[in-house]
Amino acid sequence: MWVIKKTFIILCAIAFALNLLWAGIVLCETEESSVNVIRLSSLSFYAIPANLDFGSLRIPFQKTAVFSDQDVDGTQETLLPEARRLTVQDTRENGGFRVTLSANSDFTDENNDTILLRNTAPDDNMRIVTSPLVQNVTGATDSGVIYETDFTGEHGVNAEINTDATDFGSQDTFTSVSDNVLDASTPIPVPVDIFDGTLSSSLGRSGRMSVGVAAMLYIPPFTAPGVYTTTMTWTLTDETT
Amino acid sequence: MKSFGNKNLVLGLLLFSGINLFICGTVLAQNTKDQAVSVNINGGNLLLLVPQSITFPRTILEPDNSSDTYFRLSPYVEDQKIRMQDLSNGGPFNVTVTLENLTDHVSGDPPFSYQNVEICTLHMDTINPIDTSNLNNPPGLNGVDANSLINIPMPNADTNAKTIYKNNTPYFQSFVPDSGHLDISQPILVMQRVSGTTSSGEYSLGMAFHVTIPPGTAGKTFTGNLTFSLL
Repeated sequence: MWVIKKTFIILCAIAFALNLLWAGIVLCETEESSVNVIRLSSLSFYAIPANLDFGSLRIPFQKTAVFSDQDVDGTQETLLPEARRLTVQDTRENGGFRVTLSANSDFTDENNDTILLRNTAPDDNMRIVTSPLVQNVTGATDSGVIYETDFTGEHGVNAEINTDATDFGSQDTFTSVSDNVLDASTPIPVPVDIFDGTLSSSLGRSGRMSVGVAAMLYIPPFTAPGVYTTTMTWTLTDETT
Repeated sequence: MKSFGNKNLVLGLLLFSGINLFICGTVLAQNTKDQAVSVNINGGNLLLLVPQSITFPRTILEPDNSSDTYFRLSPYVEDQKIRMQDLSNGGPFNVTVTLENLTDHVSGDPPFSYQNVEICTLHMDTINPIDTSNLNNPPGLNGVDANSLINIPMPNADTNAKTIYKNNTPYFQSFVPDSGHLDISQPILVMQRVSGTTSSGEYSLGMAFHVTIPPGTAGKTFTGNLTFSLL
């Protein structure tokens, strides 16, 4: 009896296996397996400006400006380098966004000497501007923003600290723009508005939007020698009304 | 046999199934990225800026006696001040002054003893007005950094800084010779920093002279070399 049961179980198992194998063969012959890739829409930074080094200088006797993109060879630069590129990619086709920039702290060196960053005199030491004049970024320029090739949807992004100037080694380029002074006050630094791309949910964008970013730093007179560093944070937020 | 059945079961399930791969984009409420920023500031040297010449275009009558006769000689003009540009970040230094070869340029003879020539220091700077409220500013020195820790060891005429300026013009009215004034024939330390600070700055110093004139010096014109040294 036990042998009959065992044989029956084995035969059933073989039959089941053959059935599965047969079904697989049939499927292989009649239907190819597929891979379906579903990408959701997104809002993200595509590029932020590279780390910035203002270089070296001697202790100044007077308040002295240094620039991220100073003309050093006597030739007027008309484009910011690609390393200064700030690009937001929005493929949501639904709603808007906002970009701000803030300094996380004052410039500080290894001896805890500081270069203060405030948005009021006399410590209004660091200013930012944006410009659509950027190398290797192509597309339609509208109000200081480059809507890169293949962009579709709404324009209307406000470049809040845009400059039309082309001399990024001139103090006037930076001082003629309003609300572009970094403030690292504690406990909460005051951000500078870069992009205001607010839209309602009934509207949207698909593509990349870019600007170049240039900076100027005032070194106060008789600043102690040292390597001064700080960190700036770029913040991208959904701004859909 | 058992193993064979399990393999086919798995194979069958895979063959019956399509593969759906979802690549999810991010729609973040907030997305941040950091950018480092730096600048390198190098220290520098000490630089002493002195006038090419200090002239005292003053003619006086020969005194009747030498017991208490003196007159004041002060380089009042702005370009005759001594300036110190200090980018040493607190480095030590000494500034000395010496008057040498004081002679009558006609006869070549020293007209009188060096002991008769004396010197003192005073504020003399219209570029950076004196901050009289800051007690850390050493007397006789006008610097942008109140904590520069600079000593002015010479006797100082600047007992009341406010009276020295009139209409932003140096106006020296409180100079009274006294026994504290020094013989300038030997190097005199006029400005000094030993150590103990990390500041830099630009300082300026005025100097005033007075000479005791002995009898028998009528018709003489005195010349000499005033040497400033930064060590």
